[in-house]
Amino acid sequence: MEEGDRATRFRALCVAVEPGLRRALVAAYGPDLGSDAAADALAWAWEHFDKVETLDNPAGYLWRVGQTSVRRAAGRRHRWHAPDAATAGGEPAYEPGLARALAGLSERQRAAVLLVHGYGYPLAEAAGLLGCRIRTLRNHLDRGLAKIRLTLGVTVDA
Amino acid sequence: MPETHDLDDSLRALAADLDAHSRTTSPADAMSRATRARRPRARPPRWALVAVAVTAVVAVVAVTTGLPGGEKRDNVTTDRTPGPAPAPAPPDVPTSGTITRRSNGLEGTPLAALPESGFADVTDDGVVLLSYDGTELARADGWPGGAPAAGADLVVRDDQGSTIAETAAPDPAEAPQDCSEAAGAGGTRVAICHGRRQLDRVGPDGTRTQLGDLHPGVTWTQALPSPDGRWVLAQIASGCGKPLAVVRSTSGETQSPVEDTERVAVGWLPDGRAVVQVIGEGCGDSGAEPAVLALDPGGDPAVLPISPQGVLHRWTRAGGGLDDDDRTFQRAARELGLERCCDGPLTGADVAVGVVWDGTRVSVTSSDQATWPPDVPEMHTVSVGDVDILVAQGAGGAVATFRCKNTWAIGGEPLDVTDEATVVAVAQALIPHLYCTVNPLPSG
Repeated sequence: MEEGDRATRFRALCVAVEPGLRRALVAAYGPDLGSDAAADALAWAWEHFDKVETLDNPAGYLWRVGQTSVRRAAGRRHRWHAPDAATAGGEPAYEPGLARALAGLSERQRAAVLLVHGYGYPLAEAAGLLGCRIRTLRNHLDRGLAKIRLTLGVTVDA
Repeated sequence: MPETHDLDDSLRALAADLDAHSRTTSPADAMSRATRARRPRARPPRWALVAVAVTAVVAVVAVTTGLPGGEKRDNVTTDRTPGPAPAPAPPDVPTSGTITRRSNGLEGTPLAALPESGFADVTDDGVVLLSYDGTELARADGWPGGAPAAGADLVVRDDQGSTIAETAAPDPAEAPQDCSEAAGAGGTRVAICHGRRQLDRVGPDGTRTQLGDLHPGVTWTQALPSPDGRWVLAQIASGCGKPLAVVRSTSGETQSPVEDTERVAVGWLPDGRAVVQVIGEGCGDSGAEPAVLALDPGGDPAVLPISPQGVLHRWTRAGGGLDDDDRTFQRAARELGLERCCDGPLTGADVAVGVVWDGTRVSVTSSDQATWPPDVPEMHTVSVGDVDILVAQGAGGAVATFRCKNTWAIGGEPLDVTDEATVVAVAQALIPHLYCTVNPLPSG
């Protein structure tokens, strides 16, 4: 009975944190590594659920678990890549140079930019997902966007 | 970049593409993945390997540095041989260092109908929220992780549709290096220092005024400045183990005696009276009766019509989701009666980034990563109060910069272009209410 309750509570947690956690890790590490890292982090959460359910910000904690998982799987020298914009056929859905510009950012900058400007998360929620303060997130955003604009040769995003 | 691709549009399209190419993990996936990950351990077990690895590293460090107390720490040799695979545990999760205590769901007055603050009667069996006049508002039947310690303020907030009480985050006031904790109100910062034996008022320039010293074996445990900053309500751990409470003037002039009754310092009422809960006798035989007293500094105590079953705390409705700098800024603006304003320039911004000063919107930001502004000819030093700050003219107007816990910048973009007199006036008003020590400017 108690194990059943535990599983129920874990399912609720999983449903709540999975989308944001996966998006943050995919934004930081790409679809393959990021998806695996999210799965590892959630598996870790189930194994350590007694601890996880006492956390104020489980998503932020699991983001770090996911980062550890990536480093274990791929070391620090992994290369971020996005799905090929040209493969959709016809007009690319997004600026073809954007993926290259994003690849030049740090993991946290990339995650911050994509979570806030790509997925539209509010700053507080995005900061929670990355386990950092809003002002730190803003710094990642400012610096990330500045680098992207520099790489793409734009000064203002209309 | 082609005109057909707006940056935000492109980022949204790319995010959607990443979503489509990522793999979701269901709860069942996670649970079965965890099961698969549990493999029989080869001997020796992981803890033994970790112990050996740690011992080896300690040995290398000790040999290299001459530990304990070695000073050649820059020369530590790191063992780069592959060790046992670490569990994917996060090494440095941010934490305030305190344990948050949470009540079960509160039943009674809905959150939206609760006043801004009140008293909480806390026992091991639960909590009763009271208004300041003693009216019961709501109650909960337990603390799953244990009841909060005496003196801890509580916040009442929504928790996924349920209203709960939990221990409040520590005061974001900056504690000087040799002090264990600090609190601020009314433009006054106090800190408990020197092994908790000394109570100090601390100015923005770091100057300290001693408000109380205690005999060996007796320590300050908590200090709460009054809303006007003129007084401090302090909790003392007596030599016999019973708590005592005292109100002192923050000017250091009034040194009222410590009464020998077991008293819990509860906090300050909005009208400026200190509230203490008299539990009973102190270290001697004082014959004190349990009561809740409102102490008017310099006046007579009044007995409040409250009879707690447990320990009385103060509670406030939570703002929620704010970091220390936001809490500090919001408190400063509130204490100064300034209107906060202006959502940030970024998508989804949800915190105020400025104040309205004489009808002008002045940007107020802080950052833990910012550096001093570049050394430009237009930059100069301005003295505000007891501290010097930098003022520089930029494209967005004058910006005043100073550093204490973090680097604060007042004025300039993204809000209204402001002149030097305005940003200096805002800095002068805000600095005492940020409750931090402004670092001296770099020399040369």
